[in-house]
Amino acid sequence: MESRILKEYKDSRSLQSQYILALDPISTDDLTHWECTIKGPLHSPFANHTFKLRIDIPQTYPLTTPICKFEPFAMPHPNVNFETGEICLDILDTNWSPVFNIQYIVEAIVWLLNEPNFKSPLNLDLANLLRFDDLKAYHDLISYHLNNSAK
Amino acid sequence: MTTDHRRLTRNGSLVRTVGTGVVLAIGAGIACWYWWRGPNASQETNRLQQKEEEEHRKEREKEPSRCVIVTKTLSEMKDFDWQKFLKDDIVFIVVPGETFLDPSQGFEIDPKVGYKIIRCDTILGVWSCVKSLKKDSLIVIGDEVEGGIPDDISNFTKNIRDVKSKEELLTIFPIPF
Amino acid sequence: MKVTVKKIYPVYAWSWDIVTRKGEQKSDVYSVLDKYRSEKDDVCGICRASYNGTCPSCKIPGTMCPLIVGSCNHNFHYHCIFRWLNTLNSKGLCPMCRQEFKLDKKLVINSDYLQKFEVLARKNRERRALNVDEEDNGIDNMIIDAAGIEDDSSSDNSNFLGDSHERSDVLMY
Repeated sequence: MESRILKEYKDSRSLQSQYILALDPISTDDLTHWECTIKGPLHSPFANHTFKLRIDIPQTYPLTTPICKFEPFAMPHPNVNFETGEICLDILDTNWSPVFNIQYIVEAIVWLLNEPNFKSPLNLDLANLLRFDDLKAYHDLISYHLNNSAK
Repeated sequence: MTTDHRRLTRNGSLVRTVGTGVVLAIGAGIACWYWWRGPNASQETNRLQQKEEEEHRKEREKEPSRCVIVTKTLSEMKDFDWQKFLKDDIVFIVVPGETFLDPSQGFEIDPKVGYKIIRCDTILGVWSCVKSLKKDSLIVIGDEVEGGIPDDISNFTKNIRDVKSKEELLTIFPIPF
Repeated sequence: MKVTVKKIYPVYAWSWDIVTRKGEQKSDVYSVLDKYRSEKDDVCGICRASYNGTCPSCKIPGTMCPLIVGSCNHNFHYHCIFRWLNTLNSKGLCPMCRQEFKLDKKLVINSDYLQKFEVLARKNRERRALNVDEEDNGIDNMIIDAAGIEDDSSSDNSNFLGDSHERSDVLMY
């Protein structure tokens, strides 16, 4: 596990991504805790906002999934628990594969921001707005939460 | 001997000129530094304390957060200065078919507070927003909302004010003098 | 001129002869992964170490830490793929293409391990059917240093929708 995470650390030094602004271990002494800053995808209600992700790598990585969370009360999204920042994403759960790496996970999370799924909600109200196909309210409510928590 | 003496006096006047220059420069420097630094440190801490106290006081007197559902009556009060209230902890949820401070009707809204208006395409969406926002009180003209106020809304907002008339509404939103 | 050979120092090098079939079928959903897998084809997708090297728990490369070639043409260190398939989460699938992982029977390199993987697959099918979540360490005593690799089974995954049950209003259809 150590050697693989070391390789990922080396790869992350030369990382170039449109939406990943920073991907660093919290301390270089311990590569099991990472912090990531992502940019909200263009043409999504999250555009022009940045978000912090906390990634904890278990000892059993890559056979088990890293634990990824947004900061509490920072991410209004149908598949993210607003209070805890917990994320519901299939590849972080039942569809995990040991060939995925940290960078791929982060990109999948950015993709999720643009492709919410109301079938596995962690934020019922936003999921319901999608279900009712009320996209105007969906955008405005997300925008409200983003601006309100930014204060 | 005389030449030496003369040199000495010349040197003496040189020392005096340079010395005065240095003293003046230091004086000006100190003056500038005080001017640049502004009020002294103890005044600064005093001011910070006052600011903190004021914030505490504001916190105590904080208005309860409000969620307002914009229906026909509110929507028709076009001349009313709603923008004044956008500074508060308030959200306006606009029901489908109504307009409210719409930019297309010439309203200019400060982008810093504009996010407090949520426009909905469905009535179910309106209630989802109310549930998500969990504000202290809900202000709504129940009779104007299609389907009325759902029973479970009381689980998400402490105080539901079902307004019956425009006059009652004006007591909630007093006209500024 | 006369050349006298006094001593000979033979030096050998070896590498796994890996057959790669191009144009394999890929599932669309995971095509995003392509850029990660295509860059370094000669590393094990699980530990990211070279095929010719060892998995993280071995010291001597070669037959001590052999390569396993799947029928889907994806290769892994024996220890890496065995540990993955030994988790319930794996559902017996290849980490690369999500097809059921089977050994390529035609290859001699796999022949010593065919039976071990068959036993493992059968065992895991039974475990999944019963939804038993305790780890059975008796499957293969040859697997080295399996400690620390836990079986993350249903108990972890069952509560991912937990939040939705806390509220009185259920999702509307």
